[in-house]
Amino acid sequence: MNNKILSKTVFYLVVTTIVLAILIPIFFFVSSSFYSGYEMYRFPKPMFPETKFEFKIDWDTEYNMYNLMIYEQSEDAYELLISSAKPKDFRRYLKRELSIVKEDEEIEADFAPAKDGPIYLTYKKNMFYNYVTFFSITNKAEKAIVNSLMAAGWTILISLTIGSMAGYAMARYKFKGKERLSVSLLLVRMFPIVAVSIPMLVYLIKMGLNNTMIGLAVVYSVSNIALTAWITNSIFLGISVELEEASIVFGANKIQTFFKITLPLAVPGLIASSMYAFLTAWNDAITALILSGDNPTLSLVVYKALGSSGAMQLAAAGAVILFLPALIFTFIIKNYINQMWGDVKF
Amino acid sequence: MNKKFKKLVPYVLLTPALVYYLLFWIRPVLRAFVESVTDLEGKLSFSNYINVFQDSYFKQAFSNSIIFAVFSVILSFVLAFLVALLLNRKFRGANLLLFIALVPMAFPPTAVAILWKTGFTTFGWINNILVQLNLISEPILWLTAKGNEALFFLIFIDTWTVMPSVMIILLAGLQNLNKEYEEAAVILGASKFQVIKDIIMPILRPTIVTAVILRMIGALQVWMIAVMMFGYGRVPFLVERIAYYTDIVPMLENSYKMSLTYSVVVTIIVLVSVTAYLRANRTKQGGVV
Amino acid sequence: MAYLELCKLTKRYQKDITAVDQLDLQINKGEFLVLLGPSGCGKTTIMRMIAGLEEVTDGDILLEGKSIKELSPKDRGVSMIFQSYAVWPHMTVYDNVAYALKLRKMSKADIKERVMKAAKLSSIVEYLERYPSQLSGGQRQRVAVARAMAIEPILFLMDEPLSNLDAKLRVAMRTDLKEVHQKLGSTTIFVTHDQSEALSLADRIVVMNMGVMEQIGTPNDIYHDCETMFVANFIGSPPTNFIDVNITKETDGLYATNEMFKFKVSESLHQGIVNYVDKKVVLGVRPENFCIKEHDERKEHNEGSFKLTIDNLEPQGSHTVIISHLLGKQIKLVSSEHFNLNIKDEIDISIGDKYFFFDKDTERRIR
Repeated sequence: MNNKILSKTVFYLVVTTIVLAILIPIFFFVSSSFYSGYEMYRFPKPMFPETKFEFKIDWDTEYNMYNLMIYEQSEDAYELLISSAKPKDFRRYLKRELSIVKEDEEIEADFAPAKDGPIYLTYKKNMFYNYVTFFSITNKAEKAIVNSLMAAGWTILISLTIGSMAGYAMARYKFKGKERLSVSLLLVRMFPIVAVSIPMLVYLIKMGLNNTMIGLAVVYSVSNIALTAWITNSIFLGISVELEEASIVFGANKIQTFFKITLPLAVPGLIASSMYAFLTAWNDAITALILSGDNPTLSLVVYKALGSSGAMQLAAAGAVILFLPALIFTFIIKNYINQMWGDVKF
Repeated sequence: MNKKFKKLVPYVLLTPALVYYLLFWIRPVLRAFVESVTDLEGKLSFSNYINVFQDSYFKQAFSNSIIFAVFSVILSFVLAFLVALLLNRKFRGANLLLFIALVPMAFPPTAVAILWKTGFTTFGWINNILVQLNLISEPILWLTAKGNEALFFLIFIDTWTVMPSVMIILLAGLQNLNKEYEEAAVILGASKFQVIKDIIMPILRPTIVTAVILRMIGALQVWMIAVMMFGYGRVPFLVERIAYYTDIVPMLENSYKMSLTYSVVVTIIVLVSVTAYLRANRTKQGGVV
Repeated sequence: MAYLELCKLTKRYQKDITAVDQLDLQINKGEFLVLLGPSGCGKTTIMRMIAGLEEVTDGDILLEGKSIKELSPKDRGVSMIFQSYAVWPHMTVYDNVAYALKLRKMSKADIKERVMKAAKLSSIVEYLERYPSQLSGGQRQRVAVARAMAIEPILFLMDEPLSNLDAKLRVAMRTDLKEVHQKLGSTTIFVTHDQSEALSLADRIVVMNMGVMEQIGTPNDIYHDCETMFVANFIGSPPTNFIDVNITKETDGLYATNEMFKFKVSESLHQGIVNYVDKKVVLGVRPENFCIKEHDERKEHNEGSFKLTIDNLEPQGSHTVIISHLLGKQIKLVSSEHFNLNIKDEIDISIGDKYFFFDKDTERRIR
């Protein structure tokens, strides 16, 4: 009995460790995207991003300037941030370093009483400042989201049409070379896609498709057609031919049968395939870098944001935006995992 | 007429896929190969390969990619297999745990790189946690790591991302495994470890091979995490070189040829490793299990 | 003394689902015991608890008087044959049979000897080098038997081992299993939901329902001397017919009556049924225990007999199943004599001398 309790404890301990190992980095990553620049470089810092800051402002009679001081909890003291006479300087500083958005007039009015002696005030932080700024600094961000969606859309369209046709043929018909075909589908899936991307550049330039999303989708579809054919093949195999035959017995023709019976039953598999296609396009950076450097996708913009802005919290905000749809789609796919991998055999 | 048409149907359905592969897979791959063995004037020459092999980063990029692949495969497989075994039983919250375990898989490589960058930067959350827990007093300078230290650093943080995708394949395999195979072994006297070694792993071999191959292909193409953590050149990888010639020095005369030749080298390495691995794993028992 | 003894054996899942409820059972050495019941009755759970695959919630399992509840499966000396055979696909037949022996660190020569012996007994010698995928279902079944046999278990557990075989093979394997059992003389517990399997194999049958033992006895007892309505209904095909009757007392004895018939209850049953005078009870009659005569208009009905109309006929070759209705309920009779019966014909029926009475509430036999 004791043994059982012990093994149960160990089991839940391991489970907890796994959960924490996954959730802790994600939590702090997401919370980093809410840090202001000041907090990012503060050390040690509170575990959670601040929602407001407490300031002390006094008036330096010698230089005729305001001193802006921030309350530092770990030292229980105020720390000088910036001294200036111009509200403009404070506005800029508050915005850039503390994610506080205030007008000059507001600052002037708030600070004025300090001339009679130190004052204390609290400003609320604009929590989504990084997200807003990510779009305004990396001026391609909005376009990049549209690009990513378009690349994903084209990839889904191409790989679903071509792939599911092949999948259906493999599931429902006997033909020469069927075995070899399914093996070569695997080969395509295993093939490093970079090897296709670079030479494709030449073809895309010829077709005028370089720096376009269709061009990217053409490359993404290479592996996804194979994957879709694979998934739909197993889906169509799972749909009993008798269901189709029953429909024909009741007077429907082959095409009606396909659209009324087979296709609706295959919808889950088609959804799973499209999710995979979406993720291929959405997550890729190297192909986008090679083929569409001047018209980047979101993934590429986020990659470049880290280098160009230098402000990690902005890149983090971009990465969170990049991560969210991928997260949603992965959980939709979760339900089709067995279909996906259950019968993969080499 | 009708019968003849019927025979044609599968071919009609397959044609688009075949044409697509001819145009956008076979053709570019052949072209890459041809271009890699010709010089800028189009004459047959191995100068590209010589250039690549003489590239000051090549040796390191090559060995890093191989080391990364070997250790990443081993580490992620062992962890994934343990977690899959753990999850392959009924307990309260199993579904929720699976849900959570899948989260890292959702991360685009770019986002993963930033996740760890926010952690390992000097004032990042990892140092912050360590200080709050009183484990260190001064921040550790993680990102100054060099050489093998940096390489294994990358292997560890990359495992976080890729482990779930390996785990999910193994878990699917385990769940399709007939429970009675294990129970028969238990009753006949096998210990837990023997059941795993003698029964589960051999029967699961096709699934394991799939998981390992997919991870191997992925690992041989690692680049993003290295570049975003350490910048170009600190821990060079083969695909990192491709990105380097495309992203950083795209205007050099031979940049295109360099990245192209690197890509052919990567492809050859991937195909050779996969084939070798498959060869080594040919199953003896023929037919359907 | 019993060889294997289950004492108040109980299995509960998640605190509120009781799969097996306080089961007491004694199994003798060398006995072939069949656990029979519909799916979900707890029979497999009992077997898995004996094997050690399932934890015991409450109660105990004693082997030769010693508790084996806490022992791991391998220390119990049991062997099991599974529904799916569970013949490992990655090992040859030889390796399958030898695996457990290798785990026991036996010498190569000893292993070979044991494997050959088991292979001969289950006639798989010629397949030893093959992989399971190259064998038919019946052959795999034999491999499973050989594998279980090779460790020379003190107890054989068989979990519906024949249910994946086709009908003809199933009957053949049944005979083979019985032969193997007779040769080895090993104690065997066999789980099935197939009554004909149970009746043909068992020394004793335990009929289970909803985690509780309904009856234990020899195949003959179980069939001819049902303890409960469940057993009477579950065993026999077609099942026992249940007819509501009233017990009335008249000067010359007890009578069972209803709107259709009235007959005198045999003296031997009086002892129990006398308590039910003027009460409703359930009369159970097996389909073959009716006396069936072609209807004769000229003959006057005597009280014991009544008229039925044939709704349907199911000829089975050796006998015919007659489907009719009585007081709004379907009733099935079996006739092994060759009547020229047709649908819509009328027949005269009387209750023979084999019948049971059941309490309407407890559904137990009135003795």
